[in-house]
Amino acid sequence: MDSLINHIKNFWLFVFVIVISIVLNLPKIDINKQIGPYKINYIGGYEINFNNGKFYRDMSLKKGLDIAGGVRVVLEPDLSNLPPVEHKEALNSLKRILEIRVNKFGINEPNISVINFKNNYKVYVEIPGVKDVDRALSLVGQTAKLSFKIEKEPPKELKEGQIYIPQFEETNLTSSDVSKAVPDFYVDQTGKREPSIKLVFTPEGAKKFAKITRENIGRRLAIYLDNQILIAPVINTEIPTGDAYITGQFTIEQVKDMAIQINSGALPVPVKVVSQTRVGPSVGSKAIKQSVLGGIIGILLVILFMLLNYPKLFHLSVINLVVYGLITITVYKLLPVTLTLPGVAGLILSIGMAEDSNILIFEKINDEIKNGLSKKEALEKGFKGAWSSIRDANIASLIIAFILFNPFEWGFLLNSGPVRGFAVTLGLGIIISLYTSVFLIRSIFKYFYKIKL
Amino acid sequence: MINIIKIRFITYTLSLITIFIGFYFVFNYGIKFSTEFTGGTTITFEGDTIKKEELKNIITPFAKDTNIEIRVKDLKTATIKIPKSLDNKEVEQMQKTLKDSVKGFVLQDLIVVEPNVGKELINKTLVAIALSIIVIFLFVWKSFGDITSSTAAIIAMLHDVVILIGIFGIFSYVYGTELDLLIVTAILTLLSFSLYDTIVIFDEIRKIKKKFKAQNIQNLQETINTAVSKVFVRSINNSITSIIALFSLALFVEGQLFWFSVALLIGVILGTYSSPFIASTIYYDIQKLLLSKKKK
Repeated sequence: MDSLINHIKNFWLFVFVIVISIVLNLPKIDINKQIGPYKINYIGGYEINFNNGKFYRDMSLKKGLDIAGGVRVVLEPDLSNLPPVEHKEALNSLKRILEIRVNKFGINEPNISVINFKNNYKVYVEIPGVKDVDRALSLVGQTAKLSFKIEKEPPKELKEGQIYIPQFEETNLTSSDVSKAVPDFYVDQTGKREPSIKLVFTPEGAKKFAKITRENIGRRLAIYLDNQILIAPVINTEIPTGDAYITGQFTIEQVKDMAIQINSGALPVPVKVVSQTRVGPSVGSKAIKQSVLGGIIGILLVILFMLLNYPKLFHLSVINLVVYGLITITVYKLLPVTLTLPGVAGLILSIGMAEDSNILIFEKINDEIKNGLSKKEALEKGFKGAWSSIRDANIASLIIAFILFNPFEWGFLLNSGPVRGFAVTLGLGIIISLYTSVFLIRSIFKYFYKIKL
Repeated sequence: MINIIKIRFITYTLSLITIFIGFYFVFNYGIKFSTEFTGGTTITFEGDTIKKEELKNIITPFAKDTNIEIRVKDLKTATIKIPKSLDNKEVEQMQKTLKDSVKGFVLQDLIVVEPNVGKELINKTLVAIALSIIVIFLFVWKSFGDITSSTAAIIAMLHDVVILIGIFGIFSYVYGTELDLLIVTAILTLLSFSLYDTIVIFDEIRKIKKKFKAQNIQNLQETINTAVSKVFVRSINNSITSIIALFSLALFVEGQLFWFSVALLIGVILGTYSSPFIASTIYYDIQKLLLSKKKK
């Protein structure tokens, strides 16, 4: 048989995999023991924590947009002002900055991917679990480019009826001169506290800032965010310290978001929201309850079906299903797989498919018994006889799952969250079920029935 | 033994009639596509008591002279479709207006898609289907070493896809079901169902051929009939486990997820049907054609 099987023939490998799977799905158990140089604090509790948190892994199931609620935004970057050679770099930094922004916003596991379709780029941002969707949208959709402009020399005299409107010109101070922005309260002379953003300059930036303030006393210095004027105070004295407060009629939330935007850096190119999907959290939780109920009943019926049709080999298919479920959940947690509703459908479907290989093997074994072979010979021959069709049929299914999942994010293929969610659970289901329904069953044959395979 | 070759003209006719009925609906009434494909704005929400007429007055200013489609289910859930894709500010405003005027407003789902994004999605879907078919054609060809097998397998796959689309044309007309990305996913998954049983049968044919070295057409007919009869039960049993799982899912879920599981369910059934009744018989017909040409 194929060499692949020979690599995974050890029965004890399965025992190991199963034990690990059980441990990772256990509720929290305190251990607090020193093992060699490592201290294991506790096991289970849906997380791994070795060596006092130096190795930490959250093991809870990740819920996707349609289950947890949230927003999916498709952004179209405007690359028209950049030469084509710089496109890739700009897109990479765009993705990085968006990731920082969403992470700092305090939501876990945003899913951001850049897709190229005939040189027409799109950035998909999925933020599950977010409650204030509008806020999240403005957070990712704004370029957040800071610029500092100084008031031009005012005209000496104003004509009759003419109102003075200050004109501003660019300075050499830019976003990159700001080392960080801190949400803060600004206390004015009357003692009134106002939410504000404190800009801390880099040493280089502080020098530039000092020079600008020194040379322009009596004029206004305007701070712009995305070409929108935030504040334009009159410079009273030189400011050598390198801190600047931006005040305005801001709420605390606005100040926090602006600080996140400035700190993560301006987006390298302006973006436009071309599509958005918002999902309320209530739908998902209802649908997940329905699907889980459907799934459980499905599993029970499948087991019943197997009992009625293959009473003598039935125990093997139950072992297969249990181990399959255990490994699947563990793999979902380890990768991690973000569970979406189509994903749950894929999972339930894969339960049906997990039995397919079993049925093929069992039928072959029954055939061989009918042909008059002994039980031992029938198990051996039946198993070998079923393998070629199992292999080819599963490879074909994997090809489809591969195209649906589109792992290399090819621009000419689908790249939608729901489709991928389905493809990933289906694909994993095929691989894991091959592992359990073929290799596990084979190991059991070898170990308990002492059959040479 | 089942004589699958003898009854093939009955099954061909059955399939053709089904395809014809489906296409009658698709071409006469069209298939409704979801917002993901057409572009526009769709919002679904819950409320205590939703009145369709009131909603119409609230939404009309946002639709800007385009046709709004409002569906209300049990006075509790409403879906509003606007062909125009609203911008961010308009969306916020619409949500706020709805919140103010609908008691117990809970947003379920909101989707805004620019029209060109939808067109792109249609392109990508077609590419995905075409690519799947090509790759599988090559895989079966390589795996079974003859182009007849892969051609027959692909014809059976296309047969299933065409029938499923036709059935959704009927659903679209009767229930107003929308063809969305999930249904498209189901169509792509159907390709793999269709192939699973076909491969099991072809593998059996391959084994019998090896054993007896079937050459002439009489032997071929017997070979195929034997192979199909041999795997018939396990094919059906294979599918029954998937059918059970999908059926119990479809029984409990609602909305688009329901139609998704229905599509998968029909897919499994079609895939099981087409492997013996289409793929195997087409394989026979192609072989027969090739042999008769050789004789000439």
